[in-house]
Order: sequence, then structure tokens, then C-alpha cells
Amino acid sequence: MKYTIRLFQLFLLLNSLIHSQSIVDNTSNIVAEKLFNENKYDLAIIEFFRINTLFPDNNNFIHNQSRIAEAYKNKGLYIESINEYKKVLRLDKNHWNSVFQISSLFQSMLHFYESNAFIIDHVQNFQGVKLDSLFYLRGTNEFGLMDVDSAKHFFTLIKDEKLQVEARKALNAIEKYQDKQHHSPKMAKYLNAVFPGLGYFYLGLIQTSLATMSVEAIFLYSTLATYNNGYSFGSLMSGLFFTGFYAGSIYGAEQFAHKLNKNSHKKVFIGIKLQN
Amino acid sequence: MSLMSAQEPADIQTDKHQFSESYLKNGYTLEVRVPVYIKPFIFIIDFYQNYLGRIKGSYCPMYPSCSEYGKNAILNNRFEGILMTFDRLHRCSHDLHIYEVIIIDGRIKYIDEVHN
Repeated sequence: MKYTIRLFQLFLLLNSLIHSQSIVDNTSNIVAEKLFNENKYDLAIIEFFRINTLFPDNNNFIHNQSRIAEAYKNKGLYIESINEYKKVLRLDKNHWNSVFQISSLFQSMLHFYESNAFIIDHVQNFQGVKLDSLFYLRGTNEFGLMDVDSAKHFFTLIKDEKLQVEARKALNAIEKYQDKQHHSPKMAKYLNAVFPGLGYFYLGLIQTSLATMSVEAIFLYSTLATYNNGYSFGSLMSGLFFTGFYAGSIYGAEQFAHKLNKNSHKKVFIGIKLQN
Repeated sequence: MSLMSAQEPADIQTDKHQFSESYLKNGYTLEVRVPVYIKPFIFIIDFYQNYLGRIKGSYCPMYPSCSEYGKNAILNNRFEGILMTFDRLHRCSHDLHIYEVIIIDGRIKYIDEVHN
């Protein structure tokens, strides 16, 4: 009986020693998760980091590391987030969430080449929906790089039904974008050169167009009037301003046409980008 | 005295002849060296900002203001910046619906920044 009690006590002691770490892990994990869910990301990062440092063999090591990365992402610190996800990939090179998040974060930072390179490096490790998700990201990246045909190609490779719906939407948006009449920078430039203000009118800037016509007319009139009156300094200054505004309007119309085209591209890109 | 001049780096001597201008970009003060032919334009903008702008009293609805935009454009893009400034003066306060909006000091401003 005495030996049985001793043995039972020993069993309890060993059991508590074995499970003590997991008890601490779980308790700490609960605290860290609570902080994370309450959007207290700084404290959550410290807590997850503390668990992983104190108990490197804990079962939730990868999960905690992912949570640190996610917390950084939610804080808007994308580079730190990518670095943390990369640490996860060092432990598990096929960790899907890390691969997807890193590609997606590069895309959010408009680093399309880096995102594409990362996808190419990891695409062979995945199949099914995961592969299709990477194709979708790749398609969006190609559109971001203004390579519309490549973007369409990657969207058509998607086989998963749910993602196909999104891909079809993206393809429609891209086709609409292609069909849309874009502003020609050259046309805007030449129109403003022929008649100051016409280029802005072509770009849809009606008020700017009228203002340009008025300003140019005033300076042209003042140049001629001062010249006819023999007031050379006045005509020189008016002439300089007229020339400056004239050249500025030609340059500006071209640049603004580029800007408008970029904006319409940006709108389509935001529309087709996966929201994660 | 001779020891001090001997320790002085050689490039300081040449720097004294170059026009240097500090300006605010993305919240940081940058020190840039610009050619002498840019100096009159910066002088005119500075004069406007420090004296005429205050007398005028009105404010530019764009962000950054036309004078600040002009200064940044000229410092960043030299001759091209002068054209950019004239273009901005054409566009200032017109067709505001195409610009993104930001509120600064309780005032609505329309964002049109210098892009390099």
C-alpha cells in the first residue's frame, strides 16, 4: 500500500513535470490571443515572442510566429511582417499562409517583381485551390506591371469554382479597361500647342481649359499692348510669362494625360486585387 | 590656425560656391545643392512665401500649396520643374473633383504632389 502511494505520487510528479510546459504555453497563448483579438498588437507581439523564446519546443511555435507576422501586418508594418513570415518558412517551407501572405504583402507594397519571384519560387509546392490562389496573385501582379495579356493568361489558368468567379470578374474588368478610350498624352500636348487650353478640354478639365485660355489671352494682349506703347520692360515680362504659361500648359497636358491613365489603371487594379 | 585649415576637408572649399537649399520632403528636411540658374526662381518663390503671400492673405486649396509645389518641383526637376509650376498655376483651384481630398488644420485640401 505504501509503495502504491509512493508510485502514485511519483506518477503525479512526473505527469506535472511533463505537462507543466504545455500548461504554461496554453495559458500564455490564451493571454496572447486575447491581446491580439483586442487589437493590442504591440502587447500581443511581446507575448507571442515571450512564449516562443521561453519555450522553443512548444507545439504552437509556428502558430505564434505567424501571429507575430499577422500582428505586424495589421499594424501596417509590412516589411517586418514579411520578415516574420520568412522565419516561419525557414521552419516549414510549405507553410501555405506564409507563402500567400508574403506574395500578397509584396503586392500591397506594389513590389510586383518581388511578389512574382516569390510565387515562382514556391508555386511547385502547392496544388488545387492554393495553386489557383497563387495564379490569381500572379495575374494581378502582371496587370500591375501593365502586362495585360499575361494577366489574362494567369486568370484563365484558374480551375477552382469559387476563384473562377473572381477571375471572371477580373477578366471582365480588364477587358472593359482595354476597351475604354484612354487619353492620348500626345494629342493633349499637340492640342495645347495649337490652341492653349484645348488640350485640357480634351482631358475633361473644363475649368482649367477656360482659365488657361483667359490667362494666355491676357498675357498675349499685355505683351502686344506694351510693345505697341514702346514699354519694352513690360512687354519683356509679359512675353516671358506668356511663354512660360504656354510651355507649361503643353508640358502639363501631356503629364496630366499620363496621370489620368494611371489613375484608371489603379482603379481597375484595386478592383481586382484580392482583399485579405 | 594653419593646423585647422589643414584639417578642413577639401570639398568644403568647393561647397561654398554652390547654392544650397533646405526644403521639407515627406516630413524630413533635406539639404540639396542646386545650380546657380535655379537660384532666381527659388528667390522669387521665397519672396512670395515670406512677404507677398502674407499680404495677400488668401490660401491655396491645393496640397502642397502652389508656391511649395513650385519650389519642390524646381529643386527636384530643375528646368522641368519650372514648366510644372506654370502648369500647376493653370490647374490651381480648378476641376477639384479629380483630386483626392485631405484635411489639414481643419481645412479641406486637394492633393497634387510633385512626382519625380
